[in-house]
Amino acid sequence: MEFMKAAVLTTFGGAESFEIQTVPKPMPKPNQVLVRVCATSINPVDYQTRRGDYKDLVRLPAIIGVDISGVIETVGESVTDFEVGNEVYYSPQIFGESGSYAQYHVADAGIVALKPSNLSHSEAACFPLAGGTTWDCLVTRGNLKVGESVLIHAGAGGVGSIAIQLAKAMGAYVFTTCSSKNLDFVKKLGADRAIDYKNEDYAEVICQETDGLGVDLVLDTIGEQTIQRSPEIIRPFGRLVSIVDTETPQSLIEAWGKNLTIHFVFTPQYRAKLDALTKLIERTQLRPVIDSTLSWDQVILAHQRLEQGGTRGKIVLKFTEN
Amino acid sequence: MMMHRLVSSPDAVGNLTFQNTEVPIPNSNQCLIRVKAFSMNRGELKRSQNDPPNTPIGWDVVGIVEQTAQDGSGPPVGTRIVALSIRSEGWADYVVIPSHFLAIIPQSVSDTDAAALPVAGLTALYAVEKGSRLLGSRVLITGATGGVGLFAMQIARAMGATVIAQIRQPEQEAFVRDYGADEVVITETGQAAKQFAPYRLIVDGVGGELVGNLAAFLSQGGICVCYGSSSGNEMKLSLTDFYGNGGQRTLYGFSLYTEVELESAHSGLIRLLSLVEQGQLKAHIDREVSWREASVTAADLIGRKFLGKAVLYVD
Repeated sequence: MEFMKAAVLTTFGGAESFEIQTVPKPMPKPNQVLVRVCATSINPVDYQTRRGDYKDLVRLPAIIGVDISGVIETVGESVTDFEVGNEVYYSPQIFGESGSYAQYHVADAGIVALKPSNLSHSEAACFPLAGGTTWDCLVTRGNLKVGESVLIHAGAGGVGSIAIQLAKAMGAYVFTTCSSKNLDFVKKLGADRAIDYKNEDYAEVICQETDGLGVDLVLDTIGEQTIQRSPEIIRPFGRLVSIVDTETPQSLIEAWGKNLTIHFVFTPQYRAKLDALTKLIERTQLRPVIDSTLSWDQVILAHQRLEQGGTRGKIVLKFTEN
Repeated sequence: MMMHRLVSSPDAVGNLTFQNTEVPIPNSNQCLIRVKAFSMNRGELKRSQNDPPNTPIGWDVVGIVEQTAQDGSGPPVGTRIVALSIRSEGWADYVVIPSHFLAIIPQSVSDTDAAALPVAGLTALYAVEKGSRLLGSRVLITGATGGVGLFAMQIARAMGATVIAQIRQPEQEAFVRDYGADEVVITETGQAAKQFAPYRLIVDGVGGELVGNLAAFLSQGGICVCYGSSSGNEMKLSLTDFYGNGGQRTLYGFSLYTEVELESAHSGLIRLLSLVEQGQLKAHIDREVSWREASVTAADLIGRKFLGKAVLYVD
């Protein structure tokens, strides 16, 4: 049996709940590929999982992590669309299988895609989950159309920073919220109107600047009040897409009065979505936004940093250069 | 109260003449619009050539709300609006328009730019949106120098597609590039378009031999939207190219009259105006004249004496 190193979650709790351990290297099934992980990135779902928000879905000890960029090392016997040595990126199914905080990972070939040729592994690792989620929110579910307007909450975050770029690539007018220190940053990503949420009331700004009509679509990455307040700022028959699993009861009577459609997105993984993102990345319509790059054994620090808030783009954990 | 309007007249220059008639009375869901300007489309002039004498004309209208709709659906009196007159009665001092066929013009958009939008802009918008997953895909626009073609290129580009323009005359290459073409093919038969194939979407108003040849260049799952047939009515299609190599290709017969039942002209015009405001959409306006010169302008447009659109002012 061969072995590898991994950051193993041994107990639900604080960031220090990870231990670097030597564990068996996984073997691919016939429809799977074995990938040597070059880089992964941290997502909010990682620390939510770590602290026990999804206890019923995760069996300990666990290897978590949902973004991978790496190199195919072994190809299962029924896989025809990849070869050993292909550079790939993908998102393991959340909760469904072992994650990315390890030197090796096996995945069904159907969720794996060739890595954009113009990105390093560290850059590519920023995209699978956040990019795929954004694709589902704006394209598959939100059906954002050219000439429409959209509000993207938390535009400086992992999903928000990709969503601004994607919405602009689709020809929409983009409102976004962020803190004052990120105003210039989100404008550089393409936002038409950046709202400093601490000093301006975003609902007031939007009502005023859309002549009281509201936006066509809201992308909610925050939950709670954001959902309940959305009817104030969405036009009749408009849409809300939320990626948040809020447990707080919401009054949606206003949403009913305006004939709104609300989509909840728990993003499924499949290759076509990544291939579509790759085209945009290779045309530089989508660029990676990296907050910081750490070595993979600094996973504890990475979790502390993301959980603290105030990061701009993604925190990357690097295993090897290529 | 009486008003002037333009009507068809088989013996007159440009087939148009002025008529004196009663100002129309709006239904409860209609606004009465005092017309300030309108643009001319080849399609409506062609149609008017076959109309009986004294048939009203005019699709694209910019004006001011004189009476708002009684049911409360329209903007207040005095609002500047752009509208599609689907009943084709817009070239007049006054016209009645249902509220869901008009949109408020933002302050930064001129009467002239707004007047160019309704038929050409909505046709381009709804035709391009028949394509699926255009973001990052290749799109072919035929007759790219036409009113619909120029808008379709810009809209497809704004949606994140790579735009290929088909034109016939090499000297128009720089012109179409200025309106959003990433690549240009100069061809009458369409064969030269093969170099950038396959296309996820083809938007065609040329028809004839061209569109038959192009249908072979659709990608698997691609769609060819036919909104006109200026060069010919009959096409020949290689069916093995069409269903072979993955198939799933579609030919779509497009009529704006029914597309506005799927998305209202009101909603489409708002989106077009937003693109104009953001600098992503511009019309090519070649002539701005008084509507007293409508006959000559119509004759020149039919005779292809100028490129782009004519906007006429109701003065």
